[in-house]
Amino acid sequence: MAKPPEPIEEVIPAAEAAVVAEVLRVVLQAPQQQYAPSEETSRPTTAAKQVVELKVSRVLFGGLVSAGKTLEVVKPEGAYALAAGNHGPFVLGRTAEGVEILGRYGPDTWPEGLVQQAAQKLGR
Amino acid sequence: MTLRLSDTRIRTFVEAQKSSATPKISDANVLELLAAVGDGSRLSFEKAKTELARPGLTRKQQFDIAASGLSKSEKSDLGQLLDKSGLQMDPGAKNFLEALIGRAPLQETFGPLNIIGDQKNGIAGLAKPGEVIEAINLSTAPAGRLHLTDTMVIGTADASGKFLGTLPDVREGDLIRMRTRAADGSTSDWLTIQAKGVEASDTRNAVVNLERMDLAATAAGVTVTHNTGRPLSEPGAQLRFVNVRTGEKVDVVATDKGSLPAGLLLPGKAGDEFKVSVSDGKNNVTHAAVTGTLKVPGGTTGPGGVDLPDPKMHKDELNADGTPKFKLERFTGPLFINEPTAGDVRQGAIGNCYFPAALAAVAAQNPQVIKDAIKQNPDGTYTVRFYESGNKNRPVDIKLDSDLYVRSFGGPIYGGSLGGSVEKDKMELWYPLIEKAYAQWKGSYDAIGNGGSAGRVMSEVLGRPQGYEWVSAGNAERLYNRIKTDIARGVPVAAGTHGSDQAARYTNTGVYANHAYSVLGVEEKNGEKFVKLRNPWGQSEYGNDGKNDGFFSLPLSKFTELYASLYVLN
Repeated sequence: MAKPPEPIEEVIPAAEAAVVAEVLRVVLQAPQQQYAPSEETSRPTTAAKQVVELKVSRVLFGGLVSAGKTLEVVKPEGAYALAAGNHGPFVLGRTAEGVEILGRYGPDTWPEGLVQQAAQKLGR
Repeated sequence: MTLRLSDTRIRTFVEAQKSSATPKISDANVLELLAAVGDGSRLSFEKAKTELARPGLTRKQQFDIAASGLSKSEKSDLGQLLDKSGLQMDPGAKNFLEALIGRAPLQETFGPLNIIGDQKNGIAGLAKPGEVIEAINLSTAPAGRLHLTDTMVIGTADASGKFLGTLPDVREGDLIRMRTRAADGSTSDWLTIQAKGVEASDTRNAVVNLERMDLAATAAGVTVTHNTGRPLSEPGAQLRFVNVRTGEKVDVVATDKGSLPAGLLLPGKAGDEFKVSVSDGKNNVTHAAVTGTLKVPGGTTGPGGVDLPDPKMHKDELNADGTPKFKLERFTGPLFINEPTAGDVRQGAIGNCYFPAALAAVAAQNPQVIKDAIKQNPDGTYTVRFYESGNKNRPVDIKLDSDLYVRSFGGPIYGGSLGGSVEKDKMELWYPLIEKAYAQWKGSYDAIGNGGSAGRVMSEVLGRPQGYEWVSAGNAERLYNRIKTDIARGVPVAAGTHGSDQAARYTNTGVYANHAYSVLGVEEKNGEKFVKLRNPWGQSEYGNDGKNDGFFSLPLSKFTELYASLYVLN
């Protein structure tokens, strides 16, 4: 079921910022539906929405937050979940709910170098 | 006072105004005067009028059109209009006339929102104190996901009405649309400016988003419709459609909403392909750079000749009316480049990881099975053989053509090949065509794109019954030996990770939840046992071997922790 990461060129234009950060804590965890084991290799299931606090170590682009600061962001319902200590490049966008993590797998969606390359290519 | 006007069109304009009930030089009718002075050897009066009314044109551009044809006598006429005509004038109209005769600088904006100077250090201007200024870059919006109203706040007017805002990613010549928003939520009219002073020259062309257009053959020709509320190009951009078969070209100008003119009709028929290019008037003016090609659905195209029905796209890629968001293109590359291998297989943007994982596992263990499964027919079509319920006595032959849904920037949106190029005349076809045949057999890409069983697919490809085993630390050794034996016998094996409810255990591991993997073997290094796996994405893996090609080795203990099931053939 797991789809490959979206082409980064399609995501960066809608992004407000990209940062390298670590998850300090999960602030809010929506109820997670439990799925019984199945013979199917993959199924249309999702990991519940979360709100997490990020500690930003570096800013790759954008003025949403500066290095050293913390930021609460929404991890939308989708294919991955976060826990304290998870880290990596987070591409961030703004929605009606606030700042949201973009990319199908959060910090595991694209390597940091790829985010930087794409941002540069697209003039961010 | 009597006017001595030498230009006939200016004289006619003034006479018409004087005989009107509300004589006035307004922001609307001043374009007539600008056209009267802008005409000359380069532009006719009518052409100048059309140019001046083009959507998205800034005041500066309108001024330049008028100034380019302005003669000495016309200058004198405008001076008389200002000083002696007694006609009422809108401030914006008056400023045009004053600027043309050199009496005042051109003010580029008028109204509740005024922009001052260039955008070298940001967007500066005047609005009512306390109002926020919202903006969107119309030049970049068509490439992203924004609607024209998806603005961002760039600043707030201070107590004296001044503001200085910053909009990210503004380049020279970009069209910026802005408005003010008062505390009560009311907004001003839109104001569009063209960014200047940002760079030495305007080198960023307009974009055109081909995915936002749908072509359809009708008796009258080919209709082109804008299939979304998001803009497809920047206002005023010149779009060119060239019919590849006939060479006929049609030029149109994007509307002020970044859309197509209503009722756009191209000369052509079903199956025709159109090359689409765009120019912002500064870049790509010859349209030498083509953005991409759109195909009119239906018809008979390509060297294969025969056009067979194609499986419908996944529901995520269908418009509300059921039409596909992506176009089909005929691929004519080789079925195989060398022997089929696991490394050829690339999962597309669809939730069918179980399918490429299974096919890659089969290719790795028994490439001849793949070669036997798909054949090219004399008429250019292909036939793929599956086995219903894994029963060798119940073959299912699917006949298909090599049309694949493609992204605007090239390459298939669903399964593709990593065996070289993704160009339509070069890409290795065995995997995307077997996947297409599977979608055709099961009903659509939607029918195969919401999860499934890798074991079932291996069984349907090989015509052998399937089985599966749960993975746990308790049966690690037995599974290790099972994999070793099966692989040694050339029997494919696949594995699945735990579901999305356990996704948190996967983050930062390089392995993904709710995902299928090809199992390619086992190995022992320095006394530790490993399982060799491949991610069907052709990228993203455990560890860091510097290749990021999807192939990796996982310690057996980690395998039992991260994987839930093993798919085998009985």
